[in-house]
Amino acid sequence: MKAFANSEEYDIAVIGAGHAGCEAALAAARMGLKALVLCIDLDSVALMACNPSIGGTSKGHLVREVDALGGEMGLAADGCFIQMRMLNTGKGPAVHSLRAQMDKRRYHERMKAALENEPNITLRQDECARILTENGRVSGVVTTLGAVYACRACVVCSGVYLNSRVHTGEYHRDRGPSGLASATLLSDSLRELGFELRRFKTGTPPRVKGSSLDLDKMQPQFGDEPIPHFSFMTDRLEREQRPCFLTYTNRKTHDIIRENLDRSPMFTGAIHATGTRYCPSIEDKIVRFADKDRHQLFIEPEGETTDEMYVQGMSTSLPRDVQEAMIRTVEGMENCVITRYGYAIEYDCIDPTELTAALMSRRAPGLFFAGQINGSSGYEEAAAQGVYAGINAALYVKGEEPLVIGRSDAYLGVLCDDLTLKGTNEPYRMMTCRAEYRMMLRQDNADLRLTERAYRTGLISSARYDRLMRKKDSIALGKSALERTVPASEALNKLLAERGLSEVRGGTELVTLLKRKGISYLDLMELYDLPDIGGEAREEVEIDALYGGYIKRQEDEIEKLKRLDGQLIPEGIDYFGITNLRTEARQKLSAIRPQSLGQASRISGVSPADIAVLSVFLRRETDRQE
Amino acid sequence: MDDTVFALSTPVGGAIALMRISGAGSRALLERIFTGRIEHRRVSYGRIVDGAGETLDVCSAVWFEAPNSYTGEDMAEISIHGSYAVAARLAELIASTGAARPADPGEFTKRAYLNGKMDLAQAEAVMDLIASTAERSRRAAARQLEGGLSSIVSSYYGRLKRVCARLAAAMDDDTDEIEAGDASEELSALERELEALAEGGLRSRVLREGARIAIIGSPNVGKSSLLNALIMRDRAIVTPIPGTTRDTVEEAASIDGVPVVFIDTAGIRDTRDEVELIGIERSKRASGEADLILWLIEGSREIGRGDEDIRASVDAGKTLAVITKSDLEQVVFPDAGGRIGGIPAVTVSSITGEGLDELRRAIVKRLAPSDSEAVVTNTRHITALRGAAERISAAAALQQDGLGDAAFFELREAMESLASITGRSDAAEDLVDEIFGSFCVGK
Repeated sequence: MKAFANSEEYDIAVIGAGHAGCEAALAAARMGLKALVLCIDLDSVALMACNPSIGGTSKGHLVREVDALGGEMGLAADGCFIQMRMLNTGKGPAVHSLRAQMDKRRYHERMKAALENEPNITLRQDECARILTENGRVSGVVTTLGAVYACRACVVCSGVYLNSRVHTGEYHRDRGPSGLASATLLSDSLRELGFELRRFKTGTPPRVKGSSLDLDKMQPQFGDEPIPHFSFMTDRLEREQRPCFLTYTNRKTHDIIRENLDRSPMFTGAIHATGTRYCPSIEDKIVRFADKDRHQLFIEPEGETTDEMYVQGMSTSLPRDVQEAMIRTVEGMENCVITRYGYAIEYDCIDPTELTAALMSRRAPGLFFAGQINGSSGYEEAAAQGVYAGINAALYVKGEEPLVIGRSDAYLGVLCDDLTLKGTNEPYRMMTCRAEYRMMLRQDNADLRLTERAYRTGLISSARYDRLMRKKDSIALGKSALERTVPASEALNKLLAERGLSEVRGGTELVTLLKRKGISYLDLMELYDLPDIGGEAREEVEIDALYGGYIKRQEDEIEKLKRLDGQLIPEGIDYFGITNLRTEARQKLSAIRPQSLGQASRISGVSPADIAVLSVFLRRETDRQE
Repeated sequence: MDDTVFALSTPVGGAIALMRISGAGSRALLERIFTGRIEHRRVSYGRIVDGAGETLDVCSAVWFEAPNSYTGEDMAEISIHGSYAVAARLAELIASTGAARPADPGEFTKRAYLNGKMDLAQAEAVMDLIASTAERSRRAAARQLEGGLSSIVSSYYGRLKRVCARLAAAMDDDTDEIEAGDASEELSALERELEALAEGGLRSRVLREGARIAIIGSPNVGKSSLLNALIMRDRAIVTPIPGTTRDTVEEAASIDGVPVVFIDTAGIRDTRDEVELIGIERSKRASGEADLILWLIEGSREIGRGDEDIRASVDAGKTLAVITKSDLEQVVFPDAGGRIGGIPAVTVSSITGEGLDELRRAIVKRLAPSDSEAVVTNTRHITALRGAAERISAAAALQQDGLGDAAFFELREAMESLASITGRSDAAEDLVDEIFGSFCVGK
């Protein structure tokens, strides 16, 4: 049977080359590992199968974190954007979020090239059929073409492709997104390894021909000037930007949807999977928010070289004819020509509570998971898990300690902590309100939070490291200069009066002036001899003056969290042997197996009283051992 | 937790006060200030001496060796004479040695708990036992745990959560379609109501400490008879407590499970002193100190000038009129609304017992919230409610300034504050600290 012996051996196999897979492979390869990347269709590497944008609220934070860890997404987005816009500028610096419209074709090419240019990566079009283990540890992968590749770690980034099934009205087919093939064999292999698979669902709206729209009837939304950027390595961007357009559904649209609900697979029972509440289909919105008489639609260009546009807000699995009828009721879309119809897609995913904080399966050491297979949604969530799983898979192969990024370090930490400890019953989307240390986890300081921590991985180039050091020096310089006390002066009071602020009479510390609304570092530079520290450092100094009190409070809380997280729980602990633990807590703790008291405290169903009982138990155990 | 702590674990004012010291340095400290023998679980007598060798008190002390003590640590218990001066000097002496620090509230029980001497439920039970001095308090505490308070706080939590969710949604929405809206009205309503709930909580501390009841009235109106009748019937005198002044004695009792303290009963009992103490001055003082005033009027005698003066001097809102001596021929009757001088009245006889049950019910109704009301009997809860109200107020201001991220931060803390009452909080360690913070110091 076996025609030729297979001699290819890798350190790591990455299954899937979407946003998670690309980051995982690049991280591992750049850490010196030989990586094999398997992908069902090489023309779909880093495919933006849904909206043509990267970033947005809280997702923008993730992109900057990926970048701060030495990942690729931020650089690629800076390379392929057609519009950049900072969101939430009126809601405080902690929730400022960058969003970029992409040329999605170029983004695919740019990311594929990054993989191709990486000497440690072998990119191959083939489908993984089985994951092999030896003594419980990952030892190789088998593909549908019959190849067997030995590897010591494997990162599964199968996205929405596992046993996927798409629905448009009465049309149902077993296939992946955008008409691509689905992966049909890996699910059974995962079941064999002991995983219980679940069905999640997501969807996408129709794409339309841009020239068939009457864009003049819509409200344009332009990019920011000067152009902001994602990567901490990007200096300046210049490019002609493309606008997006706002329009709305109306009663007529809703009537058509209501009349045809019986033909929607969401309501006919054809779809059994769980959808996300945060990205509902238009038919979902009409049913759940029956009192709203309009919903916003956001028309996004799909790229420079295509006329196709994406209709955000109209995700649907209604039949083709209904999609056409409803879209043509919208202002500016009266003559709309649909190029690709919207669809819903169901797929297999695992229960992420089976994973450790570093995204490795407890069942099979060496087996990592990242992206939608873990129950998340979104490119950025996938990329963040990808870089994190890639780093940790590489550290695993090297026999080094995992890099653990916690809730107080990054949105990435919140994402992985939530997924692995709380699990999720619907596709998990990152949101700023999930991050309790949000005042510190800002998009402007992702480098300050993460880059040094990732230094030991080798992913941080010396250029990146030097930049960070210079930024830190500038911040320190600015802060110390602001400690100076200045006397009240005519010029100062003139400035304050101009900004509608009350005058000062006595001596004032410069940093106190900076706390006042509408006073910037640059304003103070006009009046006083302050060092020119550059825009990035100025931003840090200003936010620190404004939110110093909050940051201090959060730091205190983080101290407490760290203390709890520092109390480790021995691996083989028998929760059923601990008297006083409630049954629900015993079950949850046994299933999720937290590594620390802090993690245990974040599991839903484990009460503070349970934690107290557990802490007493652990203390006694420690005493006994000493 | 390797340091040594001390605290007075009984209220000052009893005949004996107990000073507890716990921690590894207890023995050395005890040796330094106490002259008696130190032996595990032995009561020994000796003197407390200060650094200059001067005797502070002659007293007894018990020494417990770890782990066989209340806290599971080395512990000393010194019983001293209960005057404030002695207790204060002893505390000062211990602190001056630098060998121990004052315990945080509930720290002894916390240590006991952390050393595995009791589980959390037991620890909470200790708190309730210490805190509730009578049956009703115990019931209130039980009810609170069963969810009376929980459900009310949950509803506030829900409202706050809704405001929060709206802000969050607006922040997490890329299209600016969801507007934060003006939450200022709801926020100020929440702030006000939570403040009121905390305030009510303070009032219901009556349940832990005992309601102070003043019995006032003209000479011979039957004050002492009524007091005796009320107390005798209940057979519930707890302890005689020496009052704050020499000429009064306070009587702690329980009326239908509500702990009460009758004040100025010395005057009432000693009719010879009454002449000096009657009248407006005394009524005013009682009115100021008491949670409830029983204004006694003799039913067999026309209302006199003295009665009217007393009526004018009391706070009608916290007064019950009691028409006494119903066993004699009556000339005083309440009006059609059951009131005298605008104050609800009950007619009683201390001799036949007529009307006493009605009076008890009236007293209890005035002092104890009805069973369905939320009873915030616990300082931890009051602090949490106040904290939430403060956060909400800060959030409203920040929201106005366009700093939604900071406003949301405050609101989330307010939510956590409320969640700490219902036990939904994630901040486990804080919660444990807070629970123990509500223990009486030293227990």
